[in-house]
Amino acid sequence: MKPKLAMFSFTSCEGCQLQILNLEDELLSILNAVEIVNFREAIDEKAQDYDIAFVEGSITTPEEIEEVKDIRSKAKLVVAIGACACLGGVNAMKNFFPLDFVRNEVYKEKASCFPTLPVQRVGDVIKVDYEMHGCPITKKEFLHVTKSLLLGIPLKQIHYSICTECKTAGNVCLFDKGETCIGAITRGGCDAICPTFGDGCEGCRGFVDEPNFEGMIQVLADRGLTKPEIKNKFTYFNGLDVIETINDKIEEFVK
Amino acid sequence: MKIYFLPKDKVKLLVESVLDEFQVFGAKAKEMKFEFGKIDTAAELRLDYNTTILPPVKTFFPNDEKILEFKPNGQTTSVHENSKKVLFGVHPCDIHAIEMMDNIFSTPPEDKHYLERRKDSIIIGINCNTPCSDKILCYDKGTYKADSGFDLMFWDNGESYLVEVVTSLGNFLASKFSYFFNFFTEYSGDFHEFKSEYHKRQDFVFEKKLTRKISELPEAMRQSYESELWHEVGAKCLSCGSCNIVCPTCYCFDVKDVVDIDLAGGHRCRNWDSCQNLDFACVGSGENFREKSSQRNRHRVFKKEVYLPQNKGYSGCVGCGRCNTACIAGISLIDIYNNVFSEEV
Repeated sequence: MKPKLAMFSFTSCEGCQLQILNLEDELLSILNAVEIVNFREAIDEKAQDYDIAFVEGSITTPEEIEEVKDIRSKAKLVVAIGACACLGGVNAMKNFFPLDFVRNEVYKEKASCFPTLPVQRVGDVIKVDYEMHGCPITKKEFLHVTKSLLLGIPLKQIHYSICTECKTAGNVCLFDKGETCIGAITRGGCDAICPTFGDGCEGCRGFVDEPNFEGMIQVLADRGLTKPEIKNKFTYFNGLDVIETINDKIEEFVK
Repeated sequence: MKIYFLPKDKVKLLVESVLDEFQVFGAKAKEMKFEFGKIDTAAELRLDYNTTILPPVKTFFPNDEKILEFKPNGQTTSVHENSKKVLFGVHPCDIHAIEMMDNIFSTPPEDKHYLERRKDSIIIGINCNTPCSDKILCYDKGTYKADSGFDLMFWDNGESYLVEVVTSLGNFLASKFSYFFNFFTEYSGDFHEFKSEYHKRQDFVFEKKLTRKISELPEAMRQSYESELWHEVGAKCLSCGSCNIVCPTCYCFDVKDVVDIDLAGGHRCRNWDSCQNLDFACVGSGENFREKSSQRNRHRVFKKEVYLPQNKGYSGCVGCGRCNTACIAGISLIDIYNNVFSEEV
């Protein structure tokens, strides 16, 4: 019997599911190997029985906590996909404001109907077997992870930086063009797609393990970035990781 | 050795002729910099470039190189690529780097993938009239000139080039384009005198960056092993790996298997690796022998200036300056070497 795959979506734009749907040349081959039983972007059916769950989106309501726990109890393997699920992502900016303020701003007079919570990563709520980073995830990594899971090959998180991939691509460094980028401390795996097309890395794949924040802050300050600009670079996708420490670090290193 | 005389306005015709017969790789403009890559038209090729983002040697050691194919029945095939290539316009520092990589990859166990790509390739060097930047160490290292490692060498002679033909492959190129060599006239001047005058002109514009002789570096480096310097460098370093990727003598790679979508066959490929990555020295049991950035930085420099001189008799750094240019944190081998010299008792 073919393993059953299910896709689930929490607070997110569902762009990661769309990436999977965009695998047009490979989807039929994937369906030879697996049965997809839950995939809101593609099918109407909703099954309760599945082996591998891909979960996108961050967890932001009491209801979502219950749902994601239910998924964990049913799935043999859970893979968090995308910046929202793995890092909190852009959604995590919510946590920089008082909860009531955010809730009233969005839902106005209906606010009391919508209970809300500070943003959490999927991994903060349930055990996650692997994290597939990016905003959105890459099709290449989805295929690699799916094939590895089906074959029982252990998955290894990527440890090299975006710079490694950007230099490998032979790009002119954005710093040489008077721009800035945090690819040096961001986890690779996207083939440095943004710098390759001329846009600085914003850190959507999360930081590498043991990132040198102090060094990166110093580099950005040396290029003339102000304290708020540096803070924005670090908190765009990675707010949850740095919320507690970033202000102190910036104060310490930016004169 | 033969010396030819080539007017500069004939170079384009030469390149066009070579392009008809060979794959040509050389420097071409990329935004405000230069890249070393496949040349499709003679107009693309630039001989007046300063340096290239990635070094020429990567032509023989490409990233994501497929080295093996495996089939569902267990059959495996080693994959080799062998096409006749001409590397047109390689600077002396990069010629030294290719010579070094030839030695590394031909030391048993031989790396057939590199050697096959390298085997029939013809290297046309071009000397540097002026330094390409202030981040280079080639004058200290003596790598601003090359006596070997090329098949032909272009020497700038104002309105023309003197072309030095030194190897059988160089002669092969000459005979292959015998019709073309009508453009050449034998150079009748004293070539040795020309060379010595050329190097004298270089002496005016190239400058030494190190406070002491390069020959004293390995010993000074050894004594710096416990130095505070490495902690200072480690604190600045972002462990991004750029220095390794752009280096013309970094040869470390990681190997991975890519399974086909049918989950049966697939291929094995190798990717450039960096000793500055956190998990570079991480072994199967989970231990990491160089878990601190300071240790990884020290290792990179020691590999170039202590271990290779000790084991191979040559330095692993050709002074091209690419790492110094690529480092956004401003870490420079020039500063490191001078600090090591000043610390030594």
